Amino acid sequence: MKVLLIEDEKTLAESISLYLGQEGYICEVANGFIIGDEKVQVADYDCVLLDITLPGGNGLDILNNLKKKKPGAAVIIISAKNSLDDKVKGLDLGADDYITKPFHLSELNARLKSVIRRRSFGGGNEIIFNEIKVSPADAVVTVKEKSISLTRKEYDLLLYFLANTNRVVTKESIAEHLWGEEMDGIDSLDFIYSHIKNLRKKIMEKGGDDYIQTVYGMGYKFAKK
Amino acid sequence: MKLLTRTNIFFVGLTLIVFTLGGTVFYKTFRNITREDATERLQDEKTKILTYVSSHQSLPQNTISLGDTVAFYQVVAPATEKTGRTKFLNPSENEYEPYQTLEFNVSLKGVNYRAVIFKPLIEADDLQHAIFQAIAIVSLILVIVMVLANFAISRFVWKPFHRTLEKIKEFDLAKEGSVSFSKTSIKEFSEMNAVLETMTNKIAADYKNLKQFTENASHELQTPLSIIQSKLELMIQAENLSADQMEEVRVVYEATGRLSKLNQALLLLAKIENRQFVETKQVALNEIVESKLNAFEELIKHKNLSVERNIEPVTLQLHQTLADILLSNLIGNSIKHNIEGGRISIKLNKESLVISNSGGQISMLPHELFHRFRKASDASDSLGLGLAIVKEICDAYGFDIQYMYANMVHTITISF
Repeated sequence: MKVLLIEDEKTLAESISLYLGQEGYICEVANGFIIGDEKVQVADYDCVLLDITLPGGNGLDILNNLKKKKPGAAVIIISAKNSLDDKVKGLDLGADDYITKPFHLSELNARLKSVIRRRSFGGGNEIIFNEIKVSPADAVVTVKEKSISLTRKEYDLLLYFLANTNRVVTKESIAEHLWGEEMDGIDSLDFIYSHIKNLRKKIMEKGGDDYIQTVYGMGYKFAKK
Repeated sequence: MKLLTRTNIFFVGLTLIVFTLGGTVFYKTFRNITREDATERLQDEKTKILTYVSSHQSLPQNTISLGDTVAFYQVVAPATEKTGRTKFLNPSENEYEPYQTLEFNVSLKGVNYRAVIFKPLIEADDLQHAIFQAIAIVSLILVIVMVLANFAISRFVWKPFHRTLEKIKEFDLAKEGSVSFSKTSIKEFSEMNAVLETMTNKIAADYKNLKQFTENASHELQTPLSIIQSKLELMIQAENLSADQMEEVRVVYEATGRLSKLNQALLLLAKIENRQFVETKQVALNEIVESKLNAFEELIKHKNLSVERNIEPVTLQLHQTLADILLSNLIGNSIKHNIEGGRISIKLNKESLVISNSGGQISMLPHELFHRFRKASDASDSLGLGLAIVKEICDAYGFDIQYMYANMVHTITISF
């Protein structure tokens, strides 16, 4: 999987490419408008992560140029501006998703996977982790071929874990992923814990392993033991 | 006290003083003139009498024709000529009347006579009375004219001043960038306008810069925050961290998250203040209320809250994001600051939105609730900016927001 990251902030670009590299992506970095615009024109990427505020130009112009030439290209906009106008403009121009700085790397990773998955097999491909199989197209989860019924939040939580397997996922990033901004100022740990407990129970009931490890104080890790 | 009243009082007072002084001077002058005139005429009469005596060689008998009273009496030796004043009782009016007198010597056939002429003067109180009357009438006319003139001056000459005053009264720093006053030909007012214009423009520019600074500062903080957060996230993936190190990373990570949220809230406030949410559209508030209640469903269940809805379809011209934040903050608050098993009531109609929830008393004044960084609870995960944002949004759209606490129920009312 090849990803192009167009981001002028070198340290941030480094972190992102390192995280994505660990996930098995080949992550190229373009640090400016011109080089970014050039790269998207000449090479094909599975997804482009595009910062809007770039020295030398507006990232939306790169998006526009790219979509003219390759309408099918996948793009996630990264922006420091939490502006609805930019979001609407970006999505109108054909971006697949929009994420605002500062974001959790695990969140970016989950979104990237979701975009690539939707693109590659028309969304029909399944996510398989040992005995757990998720078919995102119809939101069906099976454990050892037996389907389990999850609530919306449990399902989202499972997908989030599956996108970030073998990694510590912080409770803050889980809260933001599940509830967005709404839970700001609320101690959401209890809610996360109860969803995790239920998810774990439902998987284990069908004979699945307990993959959810608690990383004390920090969050959770979905991994083989 | 109005300027007009003050100047009128001043004018009336001044008029009284001037006319009292003027009247006195006038009285004295007039009296002196009549006295001098009487003295001169007495001298004339003296000449006439002396002429008569020397030509007729007898004292004049018929002195009535002179209009004055003349008396002669014999004296031993001639004395010097003397003028004086005296008073006699006028029997017909039963009061004393003033007379100017002239005493002089008349020599007739070797006999010395003393002649005294009494010339009646105008009575002092008659004079005073006449002068007072004249002065009073003149003063009254003057005062009336001045007061009327003042009204006219105030109406016409002060017009530019009042226009400027109106402009300043209506001036809202948060809404307008600058203010311009209408032209006037009066130098003082045009100078005042120029000074005010410079001043308001300077204030507005400073205010704008300050707000811009807040926004830029918050904005610039986003990138370093992103870097810190991403580096920490990479760090916690490391397998070789000790439990202590992990704990320290956790603390830094949480603080960074808090800082980042704080920064976003401040940025949002600055953006609303800077009126950057300009694109409005018809927003169905009732739908947002329902979707927020949905989003908070878990929390409502967790706290065992009962929600009473009285929601009518209401559509307002708003910015979608702001409408969203407004309701999210208000409904979120009504849940967060609620008690276990408490109640929430949401009433929405064309006039207002009323959200009330049960909860304990808070230790601050109602208006302080909308100030930044005021927290009702000591919950450290609360930023204390939620209601400040709500207030700012209400201000931006000219909504009135009120907070009330009674019988263990907090109520926030927004009137559209």
